[in-house]
Amino acid sequence: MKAKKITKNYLLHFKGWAQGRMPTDPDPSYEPRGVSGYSFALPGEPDMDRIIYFQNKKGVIQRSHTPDIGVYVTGGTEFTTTGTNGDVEFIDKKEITEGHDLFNAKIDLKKKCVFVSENSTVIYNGFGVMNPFIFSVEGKDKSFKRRFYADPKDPKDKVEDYSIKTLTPFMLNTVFMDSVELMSDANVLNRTAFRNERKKLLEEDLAIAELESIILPKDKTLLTTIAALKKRISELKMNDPENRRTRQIGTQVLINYPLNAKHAEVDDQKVKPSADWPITMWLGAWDADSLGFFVNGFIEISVEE
Amino acid sequence: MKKPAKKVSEITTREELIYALCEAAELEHGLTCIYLFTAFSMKSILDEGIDDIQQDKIRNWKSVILRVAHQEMEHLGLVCNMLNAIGGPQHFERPNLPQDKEYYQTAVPMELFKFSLKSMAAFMAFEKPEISRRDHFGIDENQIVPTPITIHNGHTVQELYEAILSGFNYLDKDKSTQLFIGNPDSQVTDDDLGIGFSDKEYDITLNAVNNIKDAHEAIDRIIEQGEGIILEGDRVIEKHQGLTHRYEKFDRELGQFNRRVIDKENWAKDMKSIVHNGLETIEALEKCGDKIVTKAHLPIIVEAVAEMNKVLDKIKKLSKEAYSAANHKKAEGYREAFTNPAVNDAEGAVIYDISDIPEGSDVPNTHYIAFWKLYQELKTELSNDKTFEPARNVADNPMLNRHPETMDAANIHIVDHPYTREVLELFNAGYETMVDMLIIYYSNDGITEAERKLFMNTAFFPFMTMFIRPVGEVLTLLPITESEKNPLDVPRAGGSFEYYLNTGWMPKTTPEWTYLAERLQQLEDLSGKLARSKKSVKTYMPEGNYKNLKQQMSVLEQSLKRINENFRSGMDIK
Repeated sequence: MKAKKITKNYLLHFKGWAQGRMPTDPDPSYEPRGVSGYSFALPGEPDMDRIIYFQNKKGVIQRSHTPDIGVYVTGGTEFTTTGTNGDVEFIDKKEITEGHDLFNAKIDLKKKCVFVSENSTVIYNGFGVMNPFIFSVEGKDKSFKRRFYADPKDPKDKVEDYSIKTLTPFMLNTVFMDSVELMSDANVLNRTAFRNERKKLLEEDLAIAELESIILPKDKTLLTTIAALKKRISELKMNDPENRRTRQIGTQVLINYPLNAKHAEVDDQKVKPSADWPITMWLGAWDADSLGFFVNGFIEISVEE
Repeated sequence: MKKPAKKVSEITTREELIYALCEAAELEHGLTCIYLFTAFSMKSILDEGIDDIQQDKIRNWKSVILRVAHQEMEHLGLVCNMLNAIGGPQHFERPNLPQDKEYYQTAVPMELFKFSLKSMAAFMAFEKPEISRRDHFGIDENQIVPTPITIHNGHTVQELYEAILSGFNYLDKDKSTQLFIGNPDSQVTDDDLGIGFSDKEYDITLNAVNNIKDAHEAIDRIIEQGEGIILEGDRVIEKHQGLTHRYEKFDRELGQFNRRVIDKENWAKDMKSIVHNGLETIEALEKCGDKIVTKAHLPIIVEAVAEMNKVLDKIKKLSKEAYSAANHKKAEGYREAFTNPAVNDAEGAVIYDISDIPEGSDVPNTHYIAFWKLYQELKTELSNDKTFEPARNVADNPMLNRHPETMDAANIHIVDHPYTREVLELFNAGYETMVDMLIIYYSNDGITEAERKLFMNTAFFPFMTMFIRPVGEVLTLLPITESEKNPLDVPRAGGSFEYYLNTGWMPKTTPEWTYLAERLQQLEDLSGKLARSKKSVKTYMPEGNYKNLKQQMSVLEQSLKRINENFRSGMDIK
């Protein structure tokens, strides 16, 4: 008699702030400094690289008074099932809390993941597809990694090589323009107050820097800092609730990507899962000043034993 | 549309109104091209001899010019809506550049210049508000064929729109005419373009024009954004009345000073009058200084007064000499020197206060003030660092060809570097293709909703953002001519927006869709060829710029491939 299939499952909840230093409409997709949109590389900062960072690593520019970048597992359930199709049953269930291998595990996107829409040449503008989407979970002694393809039967590295029709189901899907859920989760609470609070702190920094510049009028670093602070403050002043700099903070977009590559990595070992690993996550609280956004989502990982 | 201007009265027929709107469309279109050319000429990377603070300043200036250009496109869209509303055609035709002052009788020639104090001064002249009341534009009464409405001597774009507004008012009240006969479905609005949640999204709003109230809204918006003067009936709202009246006096005296005829027979008398007007002009400007609200701008007026006095002293001295052809020429030269950049600058300082800038606002609320502020900032930066050069070494009016209407233009530079010529050819062909799609989109004449949407999704995003801007910027990296000795010093080209109107006459029906698909294929093929042959210009630019060029050309090929594919798929063309 054939033994029943046993599957280890991890339903993980993750959240935290991410960063994407990318130009915004109507700038072309490859504008390195930001000109006519609302995102900018500041004086002294490197060009915008468009890469989406879920962890604070090389490439992230953490500006002052902005939330720390880092997306982590905050909870979930580990459970084992047996059987297939309509025959599946639980064997055990365990909450993922402090002390669990995967509690506080790092969520990361490998390689250089960007939002691809290329000003509507690839997919409708502002609704890009994340690519390459190689999702990794890195716990203390446990790790997972797998990639999403728009068409797993015809896996292409460049999303540009798919048709709009193939990509449409996977483009960013705006669900709410004024999401209370994200206001609470990201601790934004109020869009304009969130920006004004930041502006006040920067104005205090600017006042100090300008005082210092009286003593050191030719200090290049100080002058660059002042120019950067001024730019941030002038942008934060544009704080009408309808201005997209402010409005976008409340925008929540939904992403449903199944991690569907033929192979995955479990604890650095190559495996061939028999099922997709679905992800449902929302991105929101688009903060034009920090170039950050909040991530909140779930992934279900299933590994046959 | 170049015809002699004449003294005119009011617009009283549909034909005249259409004619005036077509002229407005030409101007908005031409100004968009001029502003974009200048924005594309600006430096962007540290390899270009700028530091990171200057890089940031240039970026901010560029964003201001691009914002104004976007709003000019919005104005063109509003004019399209007005034309549609009254049964007029879509008018995207325009003369090639450069055009001298006489063409539209503008204050300065319409030319393609890189970013500099000179170009900012020209932009201010285009957008200058008309604060003093003068004769209205219009058409000779009792004529069936319209006499062209042009921006004739001393008149401005603002007054053209005022004439259009009064034409709308007149014809709307005329019970024998049903003015709004256009198809309401042809109107283009924000919702059609999907440009955001509100006008604060991109600072752009397109309202449908289906009645007189809508026409007022469209024209008020155009004038407010451009010149910043709000019309109430036929009166300017004058918040700073005292200053406004002093400025009006200055403007009037300066006008008389400039227009007074110098005659051989009446030399002494004419010169005396000119001196009188000159003195009055200076005194009026000084009095503006007494009333100016933003005291930090007072030195600008003081400087202008000093400059004018210097020139007037020369005129006074000359007026005491006898007439001679040489003295006549000298007098004209002095007169031109009297209205020098410092005077334009001082005018801006006065208009800044009259324009009623919101307190603490970092964003200039009119095009005129935006350019005046750029002028100030650039002047300050240049005085701090004499070596500062914010723009690439872009030649004036770098063109692929001379055109019938530019055959005699003096300041044209024909691009003859083979690689650059091909990129410029690509740019102009792409521009023309885009314009053709815009004509079809705005006309909305017998095309399906899906077709219309496809034209929108091709011509706006991505054509403007992924073609016009990147190629326009790339051209300012490329040499206009070949040079083995000093390749880095060769002047650069730019997006010349040359218009051949090859397809303007085509019926806007399905055969043209095939034509457009073929055109897109040609663009894709040429961009591919250019992406592969870029090495021929490697020695002409710093490494950083070449890296930039490489990336841009590669992205361009990809973008055109996708645009072509998406268009063909939408139109079901193999």
